[in-house]
Amino acid sequence: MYFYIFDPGKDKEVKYFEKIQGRLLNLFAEHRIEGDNYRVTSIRTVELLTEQAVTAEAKTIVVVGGDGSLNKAVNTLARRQADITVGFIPLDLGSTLANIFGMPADIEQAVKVLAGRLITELDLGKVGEHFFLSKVDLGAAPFGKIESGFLGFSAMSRLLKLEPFTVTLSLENSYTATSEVLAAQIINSRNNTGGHFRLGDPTDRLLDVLLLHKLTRSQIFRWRRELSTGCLDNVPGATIMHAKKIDILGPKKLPISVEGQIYTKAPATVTVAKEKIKIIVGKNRQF
Amino acid sequence: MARKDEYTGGATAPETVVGATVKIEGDLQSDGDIKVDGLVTGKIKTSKNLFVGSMAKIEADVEAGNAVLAGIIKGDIKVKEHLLIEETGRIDGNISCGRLQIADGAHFTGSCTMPEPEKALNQPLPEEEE
Repeated sequence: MYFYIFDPGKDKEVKYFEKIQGRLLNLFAEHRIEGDNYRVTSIRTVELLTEQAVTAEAKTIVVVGGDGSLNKAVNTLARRQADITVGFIPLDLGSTLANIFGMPADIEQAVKVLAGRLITELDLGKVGEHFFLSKVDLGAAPFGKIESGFLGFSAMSRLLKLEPFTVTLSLENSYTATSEVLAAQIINSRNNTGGHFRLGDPTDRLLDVLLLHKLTRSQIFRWRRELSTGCLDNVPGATIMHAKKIDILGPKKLPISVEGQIYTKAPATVTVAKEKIKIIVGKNRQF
Repeated sequence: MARKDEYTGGATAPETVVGATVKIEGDLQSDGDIKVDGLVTGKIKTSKNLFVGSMAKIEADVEAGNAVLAGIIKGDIKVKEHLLIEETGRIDGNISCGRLQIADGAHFTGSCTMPEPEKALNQPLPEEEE
């Protein structure tokens, strides 16, 4: 049984969303993947609807919405240790998770991928009590894809605002790494588009640690386009390490965020969770 | 053109890269290749390839499958197959390796042990002619 959770988000107009929902319901019928449909409201949250799907013993939950909606559903499923497959139809063109899973932005194509039911079991990262599919950013200004603008100057102005900090990490309780960095990430999966190297395989039971060392203004100018892709390892000399468990020892009170939302502050521990999640993926997935 | 002390592994990144500004303390172990440009104290161990850049400073015992050393290393080095010490390499410690190549200008203080290949040991010694 398919259990559809439609999350219009806060910024979608009701008419626009209803139009998309109607079109999706037709496509589900066309591909014979109809199911129960529920819309998220202020009192009927993604978490509550996911709980309802678990209780109803749904075989597949499909989240129609943004990355935040999918993260909420995945967190609920991981906490409940529910054996339910998850599908995702992105409503945001810039959805990071859709890109990672190979879900097309076009909803017709996305439904085709959904009906194809290519299921992969993926690792989840865990920071504190929060599970994540993509990556954790360390620092006050999370580092992501930047619109590079004319000749990359928009990206440069954003990058120049980043304040370097000294981070200390302990990996696998085996060694500590200390460095002054401009940005630091712990990656479970990522969008490798524009990246020189393929990182963030969510099936390898490892997290990738990326540290971008402090850069001078001229280095930022030189590497502005590479950095605007959001892949820190595009800059030569960036540090790459791998571990199942990473303790962020300092600096104390360093914000730790997932998808731009701060979940905790250092000291904190990031691990590969023992829980996994089954996701319907497309052939253009990033791993 | 790539400089001699640059990693030239093509599109595949070394699995672990320790940047020049990073200081590692403890046992750095990996199942894949390791590239070090920073400071490491403790131990480095990989069954694959180790590349130590010219700016790297290592105070650690090192174990690797193959190694190219262009930095400063204080500690014992055990390499299963091929060890190359580049001209900028400064080694202070004992070496054990299958094959050794030292570039002109490199410094090496210590002893070197090269285990004989098993075939050579099993071959009978030629009889002395009277």
